[in-house]
Amino acid sequence: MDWTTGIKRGPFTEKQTNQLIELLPGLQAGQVQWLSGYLTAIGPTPETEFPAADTGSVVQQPVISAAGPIHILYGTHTGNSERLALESAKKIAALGREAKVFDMGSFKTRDLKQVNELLVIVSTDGEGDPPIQAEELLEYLKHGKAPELKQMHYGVLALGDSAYTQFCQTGKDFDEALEKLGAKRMVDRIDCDVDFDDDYARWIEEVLARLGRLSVGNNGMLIGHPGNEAPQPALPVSYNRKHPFPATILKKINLNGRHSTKETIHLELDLSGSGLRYEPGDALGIYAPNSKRLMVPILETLGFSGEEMVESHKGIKTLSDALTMDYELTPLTGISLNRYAELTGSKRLKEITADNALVTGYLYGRDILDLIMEEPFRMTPDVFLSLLRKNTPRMYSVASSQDMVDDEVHVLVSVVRYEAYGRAREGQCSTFLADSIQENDQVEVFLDPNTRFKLPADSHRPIIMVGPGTGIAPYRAFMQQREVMENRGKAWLFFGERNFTTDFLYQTEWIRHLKEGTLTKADVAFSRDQEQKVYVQDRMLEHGRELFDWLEEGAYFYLCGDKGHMAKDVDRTLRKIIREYGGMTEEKAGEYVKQLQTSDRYQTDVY
Amino acid sequence: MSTSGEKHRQLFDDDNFYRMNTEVITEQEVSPEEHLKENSHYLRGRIVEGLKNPLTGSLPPDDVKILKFHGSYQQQDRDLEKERKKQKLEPLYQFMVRVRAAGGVVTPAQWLVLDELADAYGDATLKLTTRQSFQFHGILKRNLKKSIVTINDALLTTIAACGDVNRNVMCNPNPYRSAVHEQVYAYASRLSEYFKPRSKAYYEIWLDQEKVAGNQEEEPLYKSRYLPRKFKIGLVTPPNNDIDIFASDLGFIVVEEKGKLKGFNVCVGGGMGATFGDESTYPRLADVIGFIPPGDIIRVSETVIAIQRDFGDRLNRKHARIKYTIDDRGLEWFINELEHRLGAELQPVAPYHFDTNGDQYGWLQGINGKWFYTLFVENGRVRNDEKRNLKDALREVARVHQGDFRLTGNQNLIIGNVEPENKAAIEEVLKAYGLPGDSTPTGLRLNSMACVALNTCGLAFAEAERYLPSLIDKLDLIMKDNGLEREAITIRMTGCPNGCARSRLGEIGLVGRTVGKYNLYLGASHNGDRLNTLYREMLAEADILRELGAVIARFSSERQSGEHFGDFVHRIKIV
Repeated sequence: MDWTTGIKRGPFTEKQTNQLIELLPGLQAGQVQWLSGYLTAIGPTPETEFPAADTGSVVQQPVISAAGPIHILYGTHTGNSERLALESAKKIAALGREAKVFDMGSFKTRDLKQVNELLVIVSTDGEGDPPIQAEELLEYLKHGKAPELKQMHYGVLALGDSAYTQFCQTGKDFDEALEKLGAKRMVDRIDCDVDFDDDYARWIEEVLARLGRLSVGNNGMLIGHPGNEAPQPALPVSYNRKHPFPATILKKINLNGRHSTKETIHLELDLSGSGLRYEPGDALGIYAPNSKRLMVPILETLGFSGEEMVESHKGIKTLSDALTMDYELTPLTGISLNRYAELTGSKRLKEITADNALVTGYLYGRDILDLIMEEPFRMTPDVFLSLLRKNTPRMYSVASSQDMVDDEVHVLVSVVRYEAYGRAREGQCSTFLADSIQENDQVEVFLDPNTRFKLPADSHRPIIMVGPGTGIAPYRAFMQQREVMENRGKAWLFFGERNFTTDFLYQTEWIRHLKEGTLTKADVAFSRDQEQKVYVQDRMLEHGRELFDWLEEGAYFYLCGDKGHMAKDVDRTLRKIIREYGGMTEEKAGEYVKQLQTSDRYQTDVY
Repeated sequence: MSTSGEKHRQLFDDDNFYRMNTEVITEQEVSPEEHLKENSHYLRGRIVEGLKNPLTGSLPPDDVKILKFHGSYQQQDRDLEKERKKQKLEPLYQFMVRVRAAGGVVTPAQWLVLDELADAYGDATLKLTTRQSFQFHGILKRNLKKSIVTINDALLTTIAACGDVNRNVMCNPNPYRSAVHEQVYAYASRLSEYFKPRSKAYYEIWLDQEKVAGNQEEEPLYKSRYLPRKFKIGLVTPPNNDIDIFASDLGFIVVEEKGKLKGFNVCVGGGMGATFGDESTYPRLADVIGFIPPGDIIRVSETVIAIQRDFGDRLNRKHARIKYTIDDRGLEWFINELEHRLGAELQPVAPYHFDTNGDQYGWLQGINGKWFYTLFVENGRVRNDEKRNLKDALREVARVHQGDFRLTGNQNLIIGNVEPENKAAIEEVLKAYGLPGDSTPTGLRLNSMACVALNTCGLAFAEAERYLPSLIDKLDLIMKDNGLEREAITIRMTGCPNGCARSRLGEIGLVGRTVGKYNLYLGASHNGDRLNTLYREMLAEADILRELGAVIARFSSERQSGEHFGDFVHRIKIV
């Protein structure tokens, strides 16, 4: 197709179209690239503000394209997909196309037939499950009565975590289902690991290129280009996942009393000068180097000195430095396992990788050192690095509100130490923070917004907060935020840990909040203080009647913490309470919960 | 006072007695604690609700005060106070639970229950107190009720072990006067029972007995405000004064005639407590005011308590013990009031004599032919430690023992009423556990006492129990240099001037001023009838060793034959 056709289809007046057709051929490739990146990056200009962009649902451009709006559906767990969907909509709008952003949970499936261009941005929950809002749509596309979608061009961006076996499974499922229904891929699906910024940039650039028929350079959203003579617009420095901020540790406290079986660290970090803002419910990403206690045995096992020069994804450096800073050594990922299986040709590993259940079992509790010890193989340092995933930050729910702590951010870190396969294991970031970091040291951080875990916009709404262990962190932030509010709604906390005496995280603060009325009720379950173990869900059940009454009054229900057993148990208990005290069938209770979810009154942050 | 015994006495004129002992409390300004007691619905407060609150290991402050009447003090681990505050954890609240048993007598079966309870809910130790009680430390709120139930199931109690009521009644164990002891002990038990609060609150709260409507209850003696302050009764059989009878609010000194109990000399107004910097407070020894026949003991006690109830200071708790009531109004007034209420005069004091307020260690045979073994328990703490497994040893003893256990007023333990044929079995257990120890304790150590103090007592300014043993290690070197390692000198240390370990009755007394600093008092008598006197203030350990070293050296060279240390320092006029 002639490139001018694209311009002519664009949202321009005839005069603008002619000016562009005149201007563009005269530009050098670098200039085109710069301009496209610049326009993408700055988003809407003041004159063409898109009011809907901030509140999140529809991003509109005054001129409507003949091709109809581009639908962006997101299914999110922590809000990353939502954020990327909104960002994509802005970029698309900047091309002059209308983009509509929908939460999968509230998208009407019958509208699919009218959609010509669809972008799906969806994360995968833990062991290959779709996020709650995506469940129904995916089911509809896979097994339901979805019509043929031959009119549709689509693209899928899959978010996931390669530490899990079913990496990006939900994205794969959408991709496959849409293809089966006859829709055409406009771009190839990209499966993003936890460090998704680069992959997203690559994906959206391809999408934009396809949509706008405008050639966009390799760097897509990056501004400027080395050696480019064009003036560089002065944009404020912003710290993000790719450019973390060195935050000073102001306070570091192990909150567990003496003789506790737990180690939970409260950190207060200084964000002054970073310009970083956050809200309760958001997460703080922290980068940590790998421990020598793990790296040294790896070097020894492979027969490396560590002084070998290698090319890491961050440049040329010694192998030790690369392994310390640039790659992940724990946990072992499915991708590493697959690559290593292929590399070594190990029969045993091939058998394992052929079976998902075996993979899950194998990855559990193992790190890269286990793999190379169990299946020794001679390789060069560079080959070894190619097995590894980039070092990824660890995410911690913020435990503070800027209304209260201003330029600080507080987080709660459970220190992971355990023994498996005959070796002591350590959580990479948590033991770094526990063992190697003192007050006044700096760590690299960034903020990761989570739109899916927020206090009700209406401060009068009651809130029920379930958060055993470090799941309590965001509620500390909630309380700090509500503390400064007048006329706030009721609040009810459910907390659980092992022992009352040593493990009641932030105990004195909860007692104060109760006294001052920020918190209305608190129920606690300490599993190891009596023979019969008790958990938060037991306390919920004990107060089932009241809990249901709160829900009926419009309470928001929050669940944060361990996704393994706890989240499932709490969810089951919530449904049981709704059945029992709402006099509902299982199906009705399911609908009730669904309604809570789609109206954002059931929010989860589980990990 | 009248000492005429000729007057016809009418101690059993009931009309008169009740008229006099139910005097209406006149309305006057009182301390907040008085209102608290009055509004507690006879010691109920909101303890039940407080116990149920799972968010804190503490009870509300008001209920903490009421809880004392139930035999428990809320405490906290003071060692961890700062650390836990930083950790955003409340203080490590815990409860001291005091088990009272008149005269400190328990059966082996009861010992086993207490031993097990210490491991289950306490800090795995038993503290034998200076008032013949057992104390558990470190009991968490959630285990408090279970602990009290266990104690009651063993037919022991904690009721009124603390609080503004009559507390545990002391009675010296008298290993070699077992015949009189039986009778005297029976009186101690009767007094103990008789002066328990009548409120059913204890049984409702801890033992789940049915609730009694508040207005159906009354306290015929104590009334709704109970006493202005604690009240302590003791019974002692000379010549042993191991319970320090003169430290009692009310004491009865046994008068024997031909091996039979003839009656009691009555003494009133003893009390150790004082407050630094408050001159209106001071330790005081009881005055012996007269003699009564045995059968009058309840009525006399009740009348003394009623006088204190009616005249004790209810505005200033630091000035509320009966010793101040007596001093403020005069001993003569007190005796008149007592005789007036009794409707009779007391008889003249019968002669009595005390040798010592220490314990006699090892085996002694009682006149009933049974054997008594007095075991030194350093500072009364029964525990297993690196030196010896005393707690295990006593559990083993309890398993083979068929007599009783008796706590002494010096924090020691008597394995009592051992049949001659069982003596060997007890000895075998003691030997197996290395008791009384590879090196027999020195005279100074055998006569040492210390209160609990840090880390659990809320009143302590300084260490006592945790520190005194190591101080004695150092003093023993001095004693040895002076050839005095077998010399019995009483040395007593308390972490504050309230004096639970009766530091002001030690020939050497050390009272904590602040962490690491003590006031040194010298010159109490060896039999507990004279207080010591301030010798030096604010001494650190090096100062204590230097000051005491000098006096001990003089004692070694200048003492007269048989002269006790406490008497010596008076003779040479250094106090």
